[in-house]
Amino acid sequence: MFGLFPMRLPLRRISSSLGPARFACGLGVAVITAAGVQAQIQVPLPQILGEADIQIKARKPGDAAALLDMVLTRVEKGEALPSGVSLANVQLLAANTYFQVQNYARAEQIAAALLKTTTTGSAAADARLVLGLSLALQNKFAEAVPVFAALEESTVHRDKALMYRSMAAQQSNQPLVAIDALNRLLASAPRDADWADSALTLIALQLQQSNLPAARRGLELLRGSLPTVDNLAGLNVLGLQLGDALLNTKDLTGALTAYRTVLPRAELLRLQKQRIQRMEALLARQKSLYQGSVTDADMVRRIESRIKATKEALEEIGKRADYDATLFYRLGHTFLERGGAWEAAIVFERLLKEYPQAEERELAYAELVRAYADTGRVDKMRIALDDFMRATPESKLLPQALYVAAQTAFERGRADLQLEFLEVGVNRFPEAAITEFMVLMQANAHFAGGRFEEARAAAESYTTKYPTGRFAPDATYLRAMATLVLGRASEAIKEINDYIAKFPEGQFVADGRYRIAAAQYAMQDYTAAEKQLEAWLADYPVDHPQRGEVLSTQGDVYAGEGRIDDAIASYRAAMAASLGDEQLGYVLDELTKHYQAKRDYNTAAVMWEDFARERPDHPFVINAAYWIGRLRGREGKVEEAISQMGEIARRYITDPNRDAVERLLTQIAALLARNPRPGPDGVRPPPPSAEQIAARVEQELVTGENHRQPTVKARVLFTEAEVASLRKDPVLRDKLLARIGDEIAPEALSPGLLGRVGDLLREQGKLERAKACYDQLVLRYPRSMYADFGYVGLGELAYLAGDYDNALLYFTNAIDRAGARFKLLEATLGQAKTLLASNQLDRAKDLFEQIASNRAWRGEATAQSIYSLGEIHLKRGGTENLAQAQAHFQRVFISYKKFTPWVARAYLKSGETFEKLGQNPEALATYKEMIRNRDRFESYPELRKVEERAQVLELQSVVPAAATTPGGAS
Amino acid sequence: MKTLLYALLALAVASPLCAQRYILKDGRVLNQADVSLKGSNLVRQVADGAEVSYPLSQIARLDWPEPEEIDQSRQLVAAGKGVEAEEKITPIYRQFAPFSKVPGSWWSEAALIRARALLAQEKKDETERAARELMSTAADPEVVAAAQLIMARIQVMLDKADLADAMLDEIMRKDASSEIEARAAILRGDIAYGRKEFEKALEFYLQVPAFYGTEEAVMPLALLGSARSYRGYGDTPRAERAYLDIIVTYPESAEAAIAKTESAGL
Repeated sequence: MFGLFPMRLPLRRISSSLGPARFACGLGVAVITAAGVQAQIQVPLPQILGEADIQIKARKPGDAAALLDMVLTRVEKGEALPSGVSLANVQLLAANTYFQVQNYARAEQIAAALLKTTTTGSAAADARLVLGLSLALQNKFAEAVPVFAALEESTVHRDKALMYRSMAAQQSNQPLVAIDALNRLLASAPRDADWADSALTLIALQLQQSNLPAARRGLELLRGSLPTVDNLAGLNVLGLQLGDALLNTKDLTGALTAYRTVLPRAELLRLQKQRIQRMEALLARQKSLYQGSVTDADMVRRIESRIKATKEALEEIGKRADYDATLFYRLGHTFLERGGAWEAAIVFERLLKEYPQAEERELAYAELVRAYADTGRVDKMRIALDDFMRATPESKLLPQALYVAAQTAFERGRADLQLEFLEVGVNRFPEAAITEFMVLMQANAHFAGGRFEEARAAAESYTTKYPTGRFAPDATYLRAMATLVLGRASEAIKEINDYIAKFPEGQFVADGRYRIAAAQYAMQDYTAAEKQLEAWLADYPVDHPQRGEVLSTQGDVYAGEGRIDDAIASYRAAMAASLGDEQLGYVLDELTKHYQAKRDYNTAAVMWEDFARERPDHPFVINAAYWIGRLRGREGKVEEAISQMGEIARRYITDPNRDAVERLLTQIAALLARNPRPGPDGVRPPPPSAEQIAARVEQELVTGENHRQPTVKARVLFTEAEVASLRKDPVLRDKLLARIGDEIAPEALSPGLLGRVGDLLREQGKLERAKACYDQLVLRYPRSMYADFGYVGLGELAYLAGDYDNALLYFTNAIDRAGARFKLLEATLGQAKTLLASNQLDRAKDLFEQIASNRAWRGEATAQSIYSLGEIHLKRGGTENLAQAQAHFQRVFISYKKFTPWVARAYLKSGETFEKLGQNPEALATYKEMIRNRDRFESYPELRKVEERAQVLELQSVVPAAATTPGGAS
Repeated sequence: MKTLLYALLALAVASPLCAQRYILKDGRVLNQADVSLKGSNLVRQVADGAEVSYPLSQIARLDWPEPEEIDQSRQLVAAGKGVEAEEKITPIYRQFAPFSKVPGSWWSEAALIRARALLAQEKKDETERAARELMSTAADPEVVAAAQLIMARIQVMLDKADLADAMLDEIMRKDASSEIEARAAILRGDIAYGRKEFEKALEFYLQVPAFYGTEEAVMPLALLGSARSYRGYGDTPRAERAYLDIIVTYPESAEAAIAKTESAGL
């Protein structure tokens, strides 16, 4: 997107008010008009000098100049000056006086003559100043430059010499000399208005020289002394120019710094007026202090010229009503390019609100959509897009905006919005270049959403409209896949064959050939499928990633033909090739099924045993354990099954990092918890006692080497607890789990145990120890499948402590970081209740609604969610919300009776809501209903409150209203 | 003759800008060194121990350079050193108190910095008194608005965010400078953040870098607010970036130290 949209340059005209143009004014002096006086008689030199003194004091420099000239002429002819008066001094006085009357040629002549005989000291320095300025004011800039350079030797005049040299150098087209002088000046001169002016000039020069890094450094330097800048309007112009130049070179940080120096119009006008007042006050003061020196005169002139230049720039900016729109667009665009999408959105919103008709509005809308997309604020993005379509329905930027919005909606899981945006884009802008992308995205979105007919139609629309388009192969194949998924196998086969014929080198050919076989299998055309698969296996290399899948389907085909042994061989071959977990699970299950059908339990059990041994950390180890137990059980070898699983478990039992061990232990526990089978005499022996179970667990899991290991001890206790749980002995279960929490350091526990034990400790109110478990879990095993136990646990603890910021963070991490494999409900509920507690009602409402509508979560979470939705309405207040709240509370105690804690709360809140609505009889009835069922609610504090309220309402109903009014609590 | 030459050629005149002078309504000028303050008069010693008094009411304006303590204490406030700032600025605040309404006086600036120094120490009552004094005394509407903002901030500290909101509405109804607008945006951000409305808070805090890019004094505050709000919103990468921005760009600010601590916990 960088540089996609050209920007206007609204302020070119103003730029001429900066820099070199000031020079001519800056070197001027006060105009003093007096006729020259010619001495007609031979007066003694001391008298003439005295008269010159009188004229100067009387501010008549013209008269003084003529007298001093007379003195110089007579001295030149050989007359001596009075004692104590040197020729250099008279020359300097004369040059200065001629300078004041603006006879720069004569001033130059006299100063130059002085410098022929006097080259050092203060007189020489002063003469150089007069000479340099006289030359410059006669436009002899190149000659002035070395004079000012020599003047830099003077400590008194150094700063001014540098400033004048830079000005003269600019006028004589020596920018590098000017830059050098300004750099030296800025490094040492005091930071005042002159310094700021020089800094502005330097930035302008660096810009002219295209030395952007130096210009940027100059601006950054100036930003540190902004109060010294009088010409803010000029600074604004430079900021914009520099920003544009830096943006063109993709120096986004620099561009942003430059643009952020530019003041919005109103603020600029306000501040600039203040600065002009400041300058005018300074000017008045300077004039009042005027002592007739070159410096005084020059300072007055420089202030005057600064005021003039500033006013001109200000006037120009004042005329530009859309000045801010151009500035805001630049700012927003640069923020967006630099990753500041939030800031960009703020800027564009303001631009569009304040300048709805600005030229930049189209660009601003397009980038506003992108800014909201980048920040993931889909709803605001949609509003911006709607506004964009309303404001400029024919904009050429709309298709791109719609595409960006559709992509973002997809990424944020808003398939509904994605399709909506795509539909608008495709239908309203059929000829836009990006529509081709949108049509394909539309097909993909439909396919991903399970709308295969629509996917097929969209893909077909693509191939019709863009038969040779860059995504034609994708669309063609997608259409065929949609047909296949729709169950139209023969049609799909034809379409896949069309694809293969049209794109023989296409990336989906191998997949297509395999899918044809799958379709033939689905049509029970086993012969054709078999042939197709054989050809596939012959044509593609053994390491082809789809080989395992193809072999698995070959197994299916053989099984369909009743060739079980061939099928087993193919499945076995598939297992040896690469398979995804889902496919591997399928193959293992199919093999197990076929072996069982053949009553070959041993081979099946061995297969699983091998699997469990070879892939101990694979998620299917639990399946392995299950099948080993079941298959060996079928063979009547339960003990052997336990032993084998124990053998597998012992290998990894000391390592807390192996969290699959717990799943294995759970399976061992399942076998140990079984009641013994009846003996040959038909009598069922008594089930083993807890002690016997404990002994057996120890026998299976503990060895001489590992018996002191805390991890082993924890796992033994866990296995016993699992058995207790299966034998419906929750007291023993919790006792055993609590021993893990109490006796074993969290560092020794595996992720699965940390989660379970942490939860138990939390339930028991041992919050510190629970926190230690959760901390260990999330810090040491952040990638564990049980990490969500830790995040949710920490979230609950933070919630309990009223630390809602962190609670929300933990609950969110449980989902975003840990994937919430086990605790999705708890994490979502945690987020929702935290948002509610922190008064973020809209977000809380969304989540509670999500929970309440999830069938899989139906139960106490639903009751809690419905109750909480009622609370949200109650918090919002107002008659309509109170009625909504009431409906929710009633739903809880009507439909979710078995969740007593929520029912108790719902009764109380329902009654209170009735009271708020002024429906006291209904409130009383609600309270009484709860009281009638008091047995259920005896242990709940809500019952006490309900009884109190019922009593109050009953009293009110018997006392006449008038009697309660005066002085009453109401 | 020499006098004449020197007078004409004294190109580097001793700057009158450094003077500390009282300008009277009749145009007379009194150098600060020549007079002393006695009650409601400036008093100048003349020959034989006699004194000439000039009522303060006759002073038209002060011609006074900015006392260096103003900038020093301003920086101390920015660095979160409220105690030191108060100590530094209080003598200036007192020195100019008799001239609080006279143009050219530095009282308003000193009083405002003092109020901010008190606020930094969370001395609510004293801050409120200082703000009220400014609101009733300062002639500059900018300073009055700044004092009103301090009052609004105190309401936030007293958990009266609604009242603060209403005060902000009132302040922003008038034309305000960039600095006032930026400070108001930060305060509104703080209010939204306090209510856990992180998106709204961000939209206020980020107005400062977006529209008030030259207001360096308040930038670290705005960035810190944005970092915390990003965190609350769940956008950790942007929170980290905002913290880093404060640490790198404003290393001497009080917010930089906070940013270091808070970012470590991300």
